[in-house]
Amino acid sequence: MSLPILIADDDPDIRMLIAIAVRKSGHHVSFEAADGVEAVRGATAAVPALAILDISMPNMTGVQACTLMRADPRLVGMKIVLLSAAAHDRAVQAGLAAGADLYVTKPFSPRALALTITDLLDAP
Amino acid sequence: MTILRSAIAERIAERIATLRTGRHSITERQLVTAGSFAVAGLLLVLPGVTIANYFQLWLSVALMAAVTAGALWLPWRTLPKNLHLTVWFIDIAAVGLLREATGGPSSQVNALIILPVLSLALERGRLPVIAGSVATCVIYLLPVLLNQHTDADAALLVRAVFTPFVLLLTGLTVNELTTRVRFRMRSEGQLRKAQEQLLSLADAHALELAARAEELKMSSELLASVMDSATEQAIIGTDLVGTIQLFNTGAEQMVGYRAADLIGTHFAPPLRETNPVAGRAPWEGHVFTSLIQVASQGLPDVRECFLVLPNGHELPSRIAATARHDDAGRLTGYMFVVIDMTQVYEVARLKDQFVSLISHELRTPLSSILGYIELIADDEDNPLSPEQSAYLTTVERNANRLLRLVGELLFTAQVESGGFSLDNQEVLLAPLLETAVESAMPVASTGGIDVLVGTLASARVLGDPLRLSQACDNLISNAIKFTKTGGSVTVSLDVCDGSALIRVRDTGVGIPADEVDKLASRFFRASTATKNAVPGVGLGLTITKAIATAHGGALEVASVEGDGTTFTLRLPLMG
Repeated sequence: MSLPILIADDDPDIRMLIAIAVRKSGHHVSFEAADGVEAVRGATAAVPALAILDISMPNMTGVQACTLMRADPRLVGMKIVLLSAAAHDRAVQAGLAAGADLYVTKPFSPRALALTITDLLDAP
Repeated sequence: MTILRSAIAERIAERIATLRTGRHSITERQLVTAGSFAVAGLLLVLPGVTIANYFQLWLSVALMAAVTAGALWLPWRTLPKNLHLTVWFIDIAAVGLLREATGGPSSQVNALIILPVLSLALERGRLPVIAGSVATCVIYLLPVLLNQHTDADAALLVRAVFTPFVLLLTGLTVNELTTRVRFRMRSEGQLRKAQEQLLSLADAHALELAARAEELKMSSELLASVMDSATEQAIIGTDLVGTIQLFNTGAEQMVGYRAADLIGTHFAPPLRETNPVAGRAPWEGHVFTSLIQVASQGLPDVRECFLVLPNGHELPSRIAATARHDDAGRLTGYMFVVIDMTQVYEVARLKDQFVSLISHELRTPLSSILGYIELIADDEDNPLSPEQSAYLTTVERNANRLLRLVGELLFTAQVESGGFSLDNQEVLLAPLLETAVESAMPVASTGGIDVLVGTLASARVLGDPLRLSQACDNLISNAIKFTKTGGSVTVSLDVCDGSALIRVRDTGVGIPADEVDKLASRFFRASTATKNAVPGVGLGLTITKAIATAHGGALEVASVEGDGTTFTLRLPLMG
């Protein structure tokens, strides 16, 4: 079953790459956002099964957006994947502490991301 | 006139020398006696004076003339020491003869005898004057003994003995006085000489002292001006227990206290260490004791810390402590030089920020490039021709190379800013090394290089497996890069003295000896690397060393140019 997925990245090329990975995983993009504020608004409106958020975004970072989404009772059960170019431990720790299910570092393989999405959404 | 004056001066000097040495002039004394003798002779021609014996008279005159001539012309200095005494005895004989010729006891020239006896009294010691008195007595008694004075009576005999006795007493008194005078003069001479020596010594010392004082003043002024001109550095000097003795202008400007208020107080700056070094006393204890811990052993010590200012602001600073010694090498105190590191830290922060920003901005497009390359390569609906596929592989390889470089830059920036942490866990090194060798195999075989695995001892360390893999990958890929076709790279793992030793030995181009120490510097590339066109930017070893250090280990290098290099990564084994 194809599930709705929210993707948020300020770089349109990366956004498109994520969208391709989503399609490859057999699901569909329900909302595309270019910053954290848009992402939170979109998630609240559409309630996706998964939100893939880039960390470095204008207006609101992915980590802040993640924290807000986790605080929203309407979004209970929604999975969150954080994407970031910063691979150091502190960034990973901060992301996971904010409530993300997974942390994926850039550059990522679309093929591997598709598999990750499948694993995450098909998990019991 | 000048000649005369100098002759007089010489004469005076000679006289003084004679007096000082106690040797009275023979000539002078003889001339006095001879002169008196001549005067007496003249008196004899006066009417009423009877000459009893002309032979004795002329004999006495001849003796006096002869002895005076001898006193005047004989080289007494070269003759035996006491020979001149004969002059005075001959004088006694001549005077005795004259006395006898002019009436003996009733002679008018009786008093003349005193002169030769006094001359003898002026000699050193009492013996000459005693001998002279005895000789006088003999001379006086001789005519009696020879029965020339048939009318000799008791009074004559008494006079012949009494007169020499009085002469003896007078002579002895004169001798004693002369001895005393001579002694006093000698003592005074010695004293004067000693005084002169002391005065000249005092003069010399005074001059030297003045010169030293001047030097000291100049040196002190120079030192003070140097200290005060160092306005960017705080220079603080203390004694052994930490009492402030020196507080320069730079220190006043840096901390906002006046030297006058702090000199004489205890040096206990409010400090907070930024990067405490393991094994050193923490700052929380006695600050001065902590500061001198290394310096007191004679070693220079530099630490980075925050200096808490009176307004509460924390000033990033670097403090260097050194021991002060006196000329004898005794420890006399400590010197502390504090440098304000605000600007240095700000530059470092901006640099790190810049590197992070650039790295991030580079990773984002690289993510797109690599992602889309994968999509093209994976597109089953539109398969690529072999040629296209080869081109795309080249693009991908270079994109990955760029990505690695960005990663290295970012990691180096993290190391510099201290923002690099380890996810420590128990790590078995042998499998980690095997994986590293496996991943290096494709590149090695492409380059025709053998990668050999030596002994792999069982070693467990506490560390970050990702970082340790990165370090091993760096060492192996470096070894492969610097080895020419046909060469080999040997990887081994040994355990020695509580440490695991990962050795990567190559048969490559080697590193010149004078460049070995710079290898771990950022962006440093050995001349052999540039000469042989080995690709790289000079960050791999910086990162490997940083990883080794963060694990409490070390990176050691042994290299012979042209023969190869061995890198040893030393890591402490898990207890």
